Amino acid sequence: MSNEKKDDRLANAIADLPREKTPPRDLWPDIEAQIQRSRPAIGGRRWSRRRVVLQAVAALFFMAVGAGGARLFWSPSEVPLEATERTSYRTVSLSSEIETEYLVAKQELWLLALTRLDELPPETRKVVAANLRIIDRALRDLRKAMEADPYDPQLRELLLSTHQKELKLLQRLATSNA
Amino acid sequence: MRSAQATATNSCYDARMEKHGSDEKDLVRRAQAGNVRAFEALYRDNIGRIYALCLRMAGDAAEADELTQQAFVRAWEKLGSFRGDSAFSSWLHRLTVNVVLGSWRKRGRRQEQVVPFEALHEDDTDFPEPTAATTPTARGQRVDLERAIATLPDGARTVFVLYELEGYTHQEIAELTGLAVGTSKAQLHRAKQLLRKELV
Repeated sequence: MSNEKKDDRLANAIADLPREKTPPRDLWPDIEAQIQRSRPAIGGRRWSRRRVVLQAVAALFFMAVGAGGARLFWSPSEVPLEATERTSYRTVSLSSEIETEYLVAKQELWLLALTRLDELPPETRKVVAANLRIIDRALRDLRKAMEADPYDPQLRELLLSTHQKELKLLQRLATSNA
Repeated sequence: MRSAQATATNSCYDARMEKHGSDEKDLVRRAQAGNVRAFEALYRDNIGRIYALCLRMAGDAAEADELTQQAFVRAWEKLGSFRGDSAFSSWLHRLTVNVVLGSWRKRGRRQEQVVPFEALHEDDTDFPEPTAATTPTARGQRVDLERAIATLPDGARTVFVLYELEGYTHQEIAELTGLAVGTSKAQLHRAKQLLRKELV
C-alpha cells in the first residue's frame, strides 16, 4: 500500500474515533469526597469563606489570650449584661443532638456566669465582654458560611471548636471564686 | 451499600435539577460560589471528553481514572482563576493536560528518548493492499486504533493525542510539555509511523 493510502486510512481512523468516552464507573462520588476535603482558594465567595475561617481562628486565639488575661485580673465587681446579650441562640448547621447539648450547656453556664459577672472588676469585665463579643461574631460568621456549605468539614470543626471555647469561657466565669 | 447507592442516585438527581434551566456560565458561577451540585453538573457535562483525554494520554484505564479525578479536583480548587475568557470546557481541557503532564513529572515517569529524525524514515515498508477479508470494519478499526494508541511510547502518544485528537498546535504542545517544536513534530511523525504499521 502506498504511503498516501496508508495516511488516508490512518486519517479516516482518527476521524472516526469518538471524542468522548464513558468511564467504566461513576467517578463523581470519589471526586466529591475529595473536594469536600479540599476547599478552593478562589475569589469572590471563596475568599469570603477563607476570611471567615481566618477570623474564626483569630477569634479563638484572641479569646484564649483574653481568657488568660481575665483570669489574671479576676476579682469581684460588676459586669453589664448588655455586654453579652449579643451572644445568640440561633440554630446552627450541626446535628440537632449536638446543637441541643450546646444550647442547654450554654444556657446553664450563662445563668451561673451571670451571678459572677457583677463581682468582676471593670477591667476584667471588659475583657470578658470583649471575648464574648469576639466569640459571638465568629459564630455568626461561621453560621453564615455554613448556610452556603453545611457540610464543609473545616467550618464544622471550627464551629465545634468555637462552641467549646465559648462554653469553657462561660464555665470559667461561672466557677470563678474571684 | 443500598444507602450509598441511594445517595449516589440522589446526588445525580440533584445535579440534574441543578442543571435544569442553567447554562454553563451560570453553573460555573454557582460552582465558584461553592455550590457542589453545580460543579457536579459541570462534571457530568464534561466527563466524557476529559476521561477520553486522560485515557488516551495515559494509555491505561486505572491511571485514567485517577487522572480524571485529579483533574476535576484541581478544577474545583482553581475555579476562582477561571474568568470566563474561554469556554469552561476549554479551560478544563487545558487544565487536565497540565494535570496529566504534572502527574508524570511528579512521579518521574520516564519519557523515552526522542528518536533521531532520520531514523523515522527508515522503515516505511509497503504493506499488501487490504482485501475484503482483511479490511477492518469501522468499529474494529476504532478499537484497533485505540489499542494502537495505547501501545505508543509515552512521548509519541502524548504528542499524537494532543495534536491529532485534541487539536493543539505544535507550538501549544511545546509550551505545555516543554518539548521543542521540532521534537513535537518528530514525535508526531514517529507516532503516525508506528500507528500505520499497527493498523494495516
